[in-house]
Amino acid sequence: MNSDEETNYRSFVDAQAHSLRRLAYLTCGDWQLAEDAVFTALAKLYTRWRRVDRPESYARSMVVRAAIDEVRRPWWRREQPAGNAIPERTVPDGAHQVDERLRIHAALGQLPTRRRAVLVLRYFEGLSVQETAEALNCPEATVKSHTVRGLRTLREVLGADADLPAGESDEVERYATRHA
Amino acid sequence: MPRDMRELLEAAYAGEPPMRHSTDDFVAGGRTRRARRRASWAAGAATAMLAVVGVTVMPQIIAGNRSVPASGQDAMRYPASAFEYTVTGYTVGDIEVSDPVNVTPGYQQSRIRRTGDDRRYNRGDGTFQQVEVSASVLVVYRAGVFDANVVGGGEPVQIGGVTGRYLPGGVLAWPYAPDSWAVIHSGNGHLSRADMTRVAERLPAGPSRPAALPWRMTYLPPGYQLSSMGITSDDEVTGAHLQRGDARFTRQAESYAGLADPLTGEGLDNLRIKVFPRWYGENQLSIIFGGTSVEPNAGASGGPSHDPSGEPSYDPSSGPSNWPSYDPSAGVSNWPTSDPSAQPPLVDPFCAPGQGRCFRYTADGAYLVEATASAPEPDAELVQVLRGLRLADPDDTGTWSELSEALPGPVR
Repeated sequence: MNSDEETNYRSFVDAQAHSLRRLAYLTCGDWQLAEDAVFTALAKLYTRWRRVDRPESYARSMVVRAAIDEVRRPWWRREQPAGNAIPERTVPDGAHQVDERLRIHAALGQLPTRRRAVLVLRYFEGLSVQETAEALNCPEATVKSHTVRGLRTLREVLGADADLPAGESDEVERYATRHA
Repeated sequence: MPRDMRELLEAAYAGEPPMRHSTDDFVAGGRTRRARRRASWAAGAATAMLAVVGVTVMPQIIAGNRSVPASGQDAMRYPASAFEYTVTGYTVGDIEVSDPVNVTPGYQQSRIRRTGDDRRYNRGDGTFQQVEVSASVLVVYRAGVFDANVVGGGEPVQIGGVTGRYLPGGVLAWPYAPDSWAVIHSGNGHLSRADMTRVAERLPAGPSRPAALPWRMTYLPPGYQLSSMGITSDDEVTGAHLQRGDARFTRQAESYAGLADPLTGEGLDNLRIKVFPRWYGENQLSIIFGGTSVEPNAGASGGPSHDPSGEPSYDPSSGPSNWPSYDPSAGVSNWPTSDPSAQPPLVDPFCAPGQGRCFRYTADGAYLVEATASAPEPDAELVQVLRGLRLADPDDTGTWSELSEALPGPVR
């Protein structure tokens, strides 16, 4: 990497690191794991900087995959601090008032990591089904089924007041039901 | 309730913490990765070349401890970087020299034990654990760090063509390279002069490799820098192999010149982190607070022939335990508790007020992490250190993190 390329890489990191970490966090549910995933992904990007045409797309894909991998690592299963991880269920406070953010965390925490990644890429990053499938290296049908099932879970957890997308189509809904 | 899916997701990451890594860190990470890949390619190419010419080297490359012939060795070369290992564990007869267990910018230390040196511990749950014990230590100093004058009056000993010095108290020192010394400190009666000479003659030149820690941490109080680290702490290199990771941070820079012995941070502001198996960690709690410790249960298998540390172990039958109670509203615990049935929390840290000691169990209860400070530090600082620390698998060094990932940005 020459000096111009390193300057461009630095500019890219300056501009993208925070949003990539948010993407990783929404995928894995832990800020530290999220940053580890970004660190891993951007280190890989550094070594391939010359050969990557669309660094934003490449980094996004690598970060989500790295975040999924981080969740699968054994030390993650062993160590689950109370701090920033998405809790498994909502935690009421002393006055029995449910904190809205914890509730959303709990809803997202109900989703399998890969399914959560699909929703994040579709609705947070605004990717199409095809782009999401490319990012996760999976068939488009898988993206659609994950979308439908993920949204269904969120509706069930968050209740009827959640204004969530309806899903892909009736056909996809039937597909998801058949394979549930 | 957020209006749509994007708002819902944005709400989920509200309150995000600051980044641990700077842009420089990301660039450094990329460079490290590139260097590793190049080294890997080079190693692969070299292996392929050796395979072509029919040279078998793999057993010597991959073995952890191995017997090393006394002849045909390359000269030891100390790593250029501050926290790297270059000694690789080896055996000489029944004497086992470990991979380095502690490293500083000035030296690296390895344990020395004889096969079968171990100690039987009562785990506190009706079971017993056989733990390896080391009574002697090998210290390999960087060039210019060891003060050879301290062994100048020792008896001359020939070691691989150079002259070392033997002190009857159980010390053998020799130059493995110009102005670069290695020293063996024997436990009382553990190694003879002949034993130490054989160990010294076989000190192998190993490949340099970065040191790693069994955790990643996000916070240290301001002003601390890493001084020593490894599997075990520099104040407990000999003794039972109980620790599963250690780091010592100091506010003052340590000087690595003219040393007669390894440093232990005496007189400096130290902040230490240690990891123990839970069963032994609870033993430490009883020693620190409860006074219920007893000597190891030697048991039917017999104790070691040398017990240099004399470390006590925990025997639950010896008295009631006064585990700290955790008060979530205070953030730290009060010690001791009047409730004999109180148990420590599994995840949130708890402290011994006024002692500069805080602890935290891992979520699965398998390990206890201890943070101590020799200088006055608010317990809240140690609690923050422990809260920001995430353990890998302490018993699997393959999961440990190199310093670029293990430590907060300002400390690396």
